[in-house]
Amino acid sequence: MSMKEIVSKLDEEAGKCIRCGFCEAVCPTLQAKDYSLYYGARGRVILANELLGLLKRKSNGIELNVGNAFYSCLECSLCHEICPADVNAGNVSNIAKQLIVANENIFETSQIVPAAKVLSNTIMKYKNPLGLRREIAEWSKELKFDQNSDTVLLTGHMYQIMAYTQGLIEFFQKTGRYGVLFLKISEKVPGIVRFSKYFVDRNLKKRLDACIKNVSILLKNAGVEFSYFGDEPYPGTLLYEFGYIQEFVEYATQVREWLKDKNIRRIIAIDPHTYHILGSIYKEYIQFDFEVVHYLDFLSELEFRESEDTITYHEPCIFTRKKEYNLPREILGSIANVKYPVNSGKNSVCCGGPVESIFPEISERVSSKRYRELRNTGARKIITACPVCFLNLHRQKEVLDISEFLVDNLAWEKANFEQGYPVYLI
Amino acid sequence: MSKDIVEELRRIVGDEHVITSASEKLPYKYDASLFAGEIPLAVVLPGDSNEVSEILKVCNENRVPVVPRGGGTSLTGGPVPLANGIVLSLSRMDRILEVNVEDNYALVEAGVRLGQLNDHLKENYGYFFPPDPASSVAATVGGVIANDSSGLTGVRYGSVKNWVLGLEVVLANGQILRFGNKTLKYRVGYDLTSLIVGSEGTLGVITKAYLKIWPKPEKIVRFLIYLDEISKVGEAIVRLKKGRFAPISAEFIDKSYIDILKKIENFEAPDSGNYALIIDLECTDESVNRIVENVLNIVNSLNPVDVQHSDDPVMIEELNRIRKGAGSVLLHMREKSTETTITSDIIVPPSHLPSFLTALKNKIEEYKMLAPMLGHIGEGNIHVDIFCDLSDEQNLKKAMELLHEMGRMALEHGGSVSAEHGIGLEKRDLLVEEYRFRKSEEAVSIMRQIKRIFDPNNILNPTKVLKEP
Repeated sequence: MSMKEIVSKLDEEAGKCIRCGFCEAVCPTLQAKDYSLYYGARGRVILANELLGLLKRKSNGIELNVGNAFYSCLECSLCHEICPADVNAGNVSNIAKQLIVANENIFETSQIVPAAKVLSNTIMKYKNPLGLRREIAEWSKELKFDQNSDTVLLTGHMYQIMAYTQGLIEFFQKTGRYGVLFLKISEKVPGIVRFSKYFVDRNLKKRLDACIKNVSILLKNAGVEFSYFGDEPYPGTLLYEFGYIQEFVEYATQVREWLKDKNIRRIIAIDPHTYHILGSIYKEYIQFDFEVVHYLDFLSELEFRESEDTITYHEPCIFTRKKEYNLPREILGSIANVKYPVNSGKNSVCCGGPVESIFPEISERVSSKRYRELRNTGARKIITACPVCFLNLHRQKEVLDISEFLVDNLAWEKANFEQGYPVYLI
Repeated sequence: MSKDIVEELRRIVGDEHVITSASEKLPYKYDASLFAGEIPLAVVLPGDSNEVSEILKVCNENRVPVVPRGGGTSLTGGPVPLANGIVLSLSRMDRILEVNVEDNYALVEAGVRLGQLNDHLKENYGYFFPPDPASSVAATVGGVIANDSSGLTGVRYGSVKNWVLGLEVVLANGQILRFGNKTLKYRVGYDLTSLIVGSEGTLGVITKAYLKIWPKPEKIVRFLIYLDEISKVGEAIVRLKKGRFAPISAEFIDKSYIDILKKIENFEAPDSGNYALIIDLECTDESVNRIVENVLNIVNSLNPVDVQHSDDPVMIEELNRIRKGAGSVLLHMREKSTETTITSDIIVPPSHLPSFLTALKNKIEEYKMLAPMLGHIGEGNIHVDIFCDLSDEQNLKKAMELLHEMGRMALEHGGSVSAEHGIGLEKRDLLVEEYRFRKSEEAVSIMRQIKRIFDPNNILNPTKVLKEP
C-alpha cells in the first residue's frame, strides 16, 4: 500500500471525528494511564489528525511523538461502539502504525516501539514471534490425526506462545535498562529472541497445551476428521497489528501457499485472533479462498452435563465487535448458569492482552479492572475463549479456558472415542 | 522560571502526574468545540483537593494561568488552554464518596462522569441525578456544574443548579472552602454555591459536590410524533402544557437530522415527516393508558404525519442514545473534513415557539447556509448547527454572523443567547449584547468585580466568559 493510500485511509477514519469525547468514557487505556489523554481514544484521533496536517507541510523531520499513543491502543473497538460519528480509534491506531512503519524515516526519531520491531523481525525470520519451533507442536505428541483430511486444525500458535511471553515480560520488567539493551540487540540479531524459551512457565505451558488437546478431544467426540501439522505457520497476526503491512502481505502469501501444498480446503481456528485474521483480514489483502471456521461450530451434537456452577463469561473483543461470534455464549448458557458483568456483549471490556508485550503496566491495570468486574458478578468461575484473555485474567484465580470447562462437563458416558485416541483424564 | 514551577508541580502530585512532553500535551488543545487552544506549559492531574490547593498556591504566586478541565466536552471552548498556563485535569478525582438516599444526596468528586454516577445510582439505589446533557456519558460532575448544564430533562428538572446542594471549591489562592451544605434547604447569607455554578472555572476549582438525587420515575411512556410544519412543533408543546402535561423531556429534530439518522442509525421515520417530536411522560402502570389517550387527543388535533408511543425501556434507551449522538452523526453531512458545525444555544419562552421557530427557519433560509435544528423544545431551547468550513474565512465569518443574528432574535422574543452550553470563548460578545439589550450593562461590570474578588491575579481560566478581567 502506498503512502498516499495509507494517508487517505487515515484521513477517512480520523477525519470523521468531531472531538465530542464520548470515547474517553470507555477507553480502557486512558484510565490505565491515569487519564493522560495521549493514551486515550480521542487523544489518538487528535494526534492522527495532527500528523496528517504535518504530512501536508513536511516530508521529513517530523518531531511529533505518536508511537506510544498508537502502539498502546488495544484496538478493542469499544470506542467505536459509543462514537456517534462512527470513528473507530482502534482503526485509526492501526492505520497510523502502518504509516509509521512504512515511513519510519520521515520522523525525527523512529516511532515504532522496540518490541514491535523485534517481534516482527522474528516472525519474518522464524515464522513465530518468539522463534519457537518444536515447542509449538508438543501438545500433539500423543495424538493421531487424519493427515489426508482437507480440514486442518491451525492453532495459530497462540495458546503455545502465552507460556513464554509472561516470563519474558517479567524479565523485561525486572531488568529495566538491561531489558531495553536486550531489545536493541534483538533488533539487529533477531535470533536472540529465541532465548525466550528459557523463560517458559512450565505449569502454564502444560495447562495451555492441554487446552489445545481439549479442543482435539472435543472435535474427535463430535466426529470431525482433521489434520494437524507440526510445522503449521503462525498466521502473522502481530505483523498486522504492529502495522507491518508489506511484511504481512508477503507472510500471508506464504501461509496461503503452505495451505495449498497441504491440499487444505477448510481451516479450524481455535482462538479469536486466528479466526479473525484468517477469516476476515487475509481476504482484504490477498486472494484467500479457504473456509475458516471455529472449533465450537462443530460441537452442536455433543452432550454436556448440566453444571451446577455459576459462571461468568469474559467475551473476547473480537467476538463481540469485530467478527461477531455468539456460540460460546449459547453453549455456556446451555450448560451452566451464566452471569454477565455490567459491561458485556457489545460493551464488553478488553482484558488488556493486546498490548501485554509492549506496555505490560497498561495491560495489567486494564486486566485487573476487568477481573474485578467479572468477580462482581458473584460467579465462582470465569470462562475465557481466548488464550490472550486467559493469560491476562488468569493471574488471578478461578479462570478457565472454555475448552477446559467443556471437557470437564462433557457427558463422558456418551463419548465415542476412536481406538488409540487418548482418553482425557479429568 | 517555568522549569521551577514544573518542578514544584511534580513535587505536589508526583512526576507521573505532570505531563510536559509537547506531543503528550497536544490532545489537551481541544474540547468538543471548534476552538483550538495553545500547547500549555504543563498538564497536571491532581489526586485530591489538597493537591489542587497546593497547585493553585504555586500558580497564584507565580501568576500562571490555570485552565480547569473535566471531560473536555464543552461546546464553547471553556477548557481550551493558554500557552503560558497549565491545564488542571480533574479526571483522577473520580470517586463516588457517599450516597445517602434517606437524605437525597450523593457526595462525589469533580472527575466523576455523569454516566458513571447515574449507572451507580440506578443499579444500587434506583435513584438518579436528573440533569441529562447529551454528553452525559463523558461529561464530569465538575464540568457540568461549572457549566450549569441541563440537556434532555431540562423541561422537568431544570439545570444542574437546581440539583447542587453544596460544593467544595478551591480558590485561586489555594484556600479550600465549602459552600452550601448537604441539606435539602440552606439559607445562610449570599448563595455562593449558585455563584460558582455556571462560573466556568473562572472563580474557583470545584473539587467535590453534594448533589441532590431523586428516585427514578416508575414508568415512562414515550411519544414519537412526526409533523409537517415547523409552527406545529411549537404548537404541540404549547397545547400539551395547556393540557397540564409536564414532560420529563420534550425534544425535537428537523428533517436534516431525521434523514441522516435514517441513513446512519437505521432510524425509521415516515418520508413526509419534516419534524420529529420526542416526548417522555412519567406515568404508572395504572395511569399509562389514560395518559396515552389524552396525549393522543391533543396531538391528533394538529394532524400529525404519524404518532407512535411505547413504554418499552429498551426502545426508550436506544432512542436516547441516538438522540444524544445526533449532533455528531450530523457531521456525516460534511463534504470535507475542514467543515464543522457551530452550535447555537438560544432559548425563548415556550409560548413564543410557534412564531419564533418560523422566524428562525426563514432567517436560516435567508443566509442560505446548511443549518439543521434540534433542541430541548419543552423549555424552548433550540440548537441550530450551522455548517461552516474552517478553511474558508468568509464562510466562517458568515456562520458567526448567523449565530449572532439568532441570538438577537432570541432576545427579541424574550429569550436568551445562551441556555446550557455556557459562554466560554464563543459567546463573550453575545453575553455583553444580551445585557445591553436589557439595559443592564452594569451587570457585566458587577461580574468583573466578582471575578476580581475571587481571583485578583486573574489566573483562573482567563479570557473565558469575560474577555477582559
